[in-house]
Amino acid sequence: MLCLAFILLNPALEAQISVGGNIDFGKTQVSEGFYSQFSNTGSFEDQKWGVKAGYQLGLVQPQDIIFNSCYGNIYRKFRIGNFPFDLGAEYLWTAISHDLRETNWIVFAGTTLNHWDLGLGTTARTYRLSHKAASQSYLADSENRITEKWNMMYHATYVLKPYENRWNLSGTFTNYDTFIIQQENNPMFNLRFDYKISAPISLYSELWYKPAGLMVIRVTYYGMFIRLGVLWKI
Amino acid sequence: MENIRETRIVYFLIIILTCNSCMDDADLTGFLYSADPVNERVEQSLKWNENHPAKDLIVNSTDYSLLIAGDSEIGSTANLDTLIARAKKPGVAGYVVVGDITSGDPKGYDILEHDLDEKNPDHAFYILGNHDLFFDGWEKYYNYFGSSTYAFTVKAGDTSDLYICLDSGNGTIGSRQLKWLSDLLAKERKNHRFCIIFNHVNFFREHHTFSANPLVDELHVLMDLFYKNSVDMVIMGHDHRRSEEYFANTHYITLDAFFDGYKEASYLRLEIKNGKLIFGFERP
Repeated sequence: MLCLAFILLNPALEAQISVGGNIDFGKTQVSEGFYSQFSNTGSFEDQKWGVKAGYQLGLVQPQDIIFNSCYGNIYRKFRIGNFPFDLGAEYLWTAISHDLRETNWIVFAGTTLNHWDLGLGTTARTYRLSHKAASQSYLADSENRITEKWNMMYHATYVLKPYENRWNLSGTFTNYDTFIIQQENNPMFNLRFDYKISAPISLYSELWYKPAGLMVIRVTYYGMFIRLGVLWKI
Repeated sequence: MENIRETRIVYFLIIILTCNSCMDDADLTGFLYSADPVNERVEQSLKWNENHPAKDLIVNSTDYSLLIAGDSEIGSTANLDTLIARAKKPGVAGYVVVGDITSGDPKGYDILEHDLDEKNPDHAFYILGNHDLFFDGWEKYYNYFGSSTYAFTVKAGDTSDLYICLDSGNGTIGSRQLKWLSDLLAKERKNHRFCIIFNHVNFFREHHTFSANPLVDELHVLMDLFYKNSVDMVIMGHDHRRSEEYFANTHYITLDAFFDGYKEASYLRLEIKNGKLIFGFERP
């Protein structure tokens, strides 16, 4: 607590703290009608490093799990020539259902340019039983899990206006979102609108489109959702 | 600026169409759209099922075998013919081809048609793969096989095993098929000893590959459904490379490709013996 207070209150650190809230409404081929999720994220960023964390609550969804995902990451900021880079690591935990879990260990790198935000990473994904379900299983834990060692993560965002503009519009091509990482051959698309209502507070909305079957060369609609969010830079 | 953008779009479409006309096997229009999306195919399949009740294979013993191959990709049929010959031997209840029956070349269905009676007897089960949809392939599949979403049972006395065949030709099973599958498992699973599911597109990425999988949120729903309904085994193809995984009390098996000339071609012999599921791979 003392360390946290030191970090938060020390003006010499020139730190930026942000908190955000999102609500998603959408429909997919497997959501059995509309689903809705709520999430909170928080971040602390110094001149050289930053940390982020967040959690997601399932409000309306077929799996009926309230606390269904959380993550934490840490990253280092540095420059190569004139280009700023972030290099970091993340752990993402997801409750698929009451008894099934997915975990991801992630390494990522990213850069932000005038109109572009680009990122590349990789994840090791594990599907496993919950500790409670595993303890009731007669099999060893190592025999009751699947690990996918390498899955590429990518995003490319084009931002229409300079970042400091009061409003902005951006489009993203990616295979991951805050709480889910698709396989690299299942890309998603989103359009985002940002609006700063005051210096520290901005509102945004995102429209996501998910296709299926691109890499089986039989592309079809899979799902869409809308995200409404607020970001407060404290 | 607008002209440049339009010109680029036209070039892109020309490249797609040119590539399409140069390739016999891949229908590249599928990068843009699918003429027969999965929910429409499932509706047609379920209507077909109403007039064609599920097959019940009756066997003499509770111990029996099934032969299962993936990605026969006709072309030629030497490996498939071997599988069919072995499926006629005593103790083998039937055989299954888990999608990509044809390579995508429209001639594939014609080759199959020439001896369809032999290749599609009562103990033969085919499911749809993405290649089978190329070049309006659904129409041909539907004419030859009817449903791409169906179940069959193998019965010996009072014992019965449930086999479920899914359509994943678009990389997703779709909402309509998911409901059908959920309802079927809820109603029927308890009445059967073993439950085995066949699906073309493989679920997991045991190695790095460009081969596509169902989206992760769909996998979540399916894994949970299979876990809750004690599905014993899910057998898939598509990736052309064998893998065996075990998770949440379900075996997930991806088959080698089975087309002629494929160096590692193999099929799965699934044996039900002394009340246990045993499986092994055999070469054609």
